[in-house]
Amino acid sequence: MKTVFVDSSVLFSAVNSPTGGSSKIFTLKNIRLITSKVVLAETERNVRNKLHDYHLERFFILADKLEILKQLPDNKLIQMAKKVIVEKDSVILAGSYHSKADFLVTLDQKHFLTDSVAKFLKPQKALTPKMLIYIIENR
Amino acid sequence: MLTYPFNIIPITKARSKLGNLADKVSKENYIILTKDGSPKVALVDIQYLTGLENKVKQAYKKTFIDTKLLKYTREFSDEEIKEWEEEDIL
Repeated sequence: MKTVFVDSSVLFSAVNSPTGGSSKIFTLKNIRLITSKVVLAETERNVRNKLHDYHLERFFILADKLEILKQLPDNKLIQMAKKVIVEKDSVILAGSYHSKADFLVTLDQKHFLTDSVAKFLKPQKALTPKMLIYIIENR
Repeated sequence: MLTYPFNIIPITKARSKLGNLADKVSKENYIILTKDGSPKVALVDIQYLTGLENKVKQAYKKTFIDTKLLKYTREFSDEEIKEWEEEDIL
């Protein structure tokens, strides 16, 4: 079973829209969805600030479907991540690397789907929800 | 709850004097209406009910927000949220 690290953009978008690819990955079978405490805190903060009360309920429903890693941010890894990605995304990238998941799923193609990030994460692969759905459904 | 003053009245008797009963309801003083001898509904001061609901919400409030982790989080811009929405369309 493949393990997928869910980043904040995907969790937030799954909360925001029940019909997008981000929501769909929560329905896929034979994958293990994991995330970090930072992703949950960041997503909840933005759901509370940007969306409606009913979105917060959906956030907690989706969060229940995720396995929450006990890891805390590793400052050394964050510094290493900063060398291959913009500072704002370094915490998430470091967290995903630390998780040793098979995939990192993100909607931020511009910053995460680059050669330098691919080298950093190897053998883990960064992809979008659409790419993940294609891989899982065509396995 | 039973320590507060309240009345128990059959629904059949309450029907004709609902306006008066509503006037008697205030804060913790509510009226229980029975059907076939069993409590069925209650007339409750709406402000009191809203307050109770809020207290329950607070008591069960869940959160993953940890003040120690907040420094590692950021606020999303409207622009990136829009980009994610477009990228997320199947």
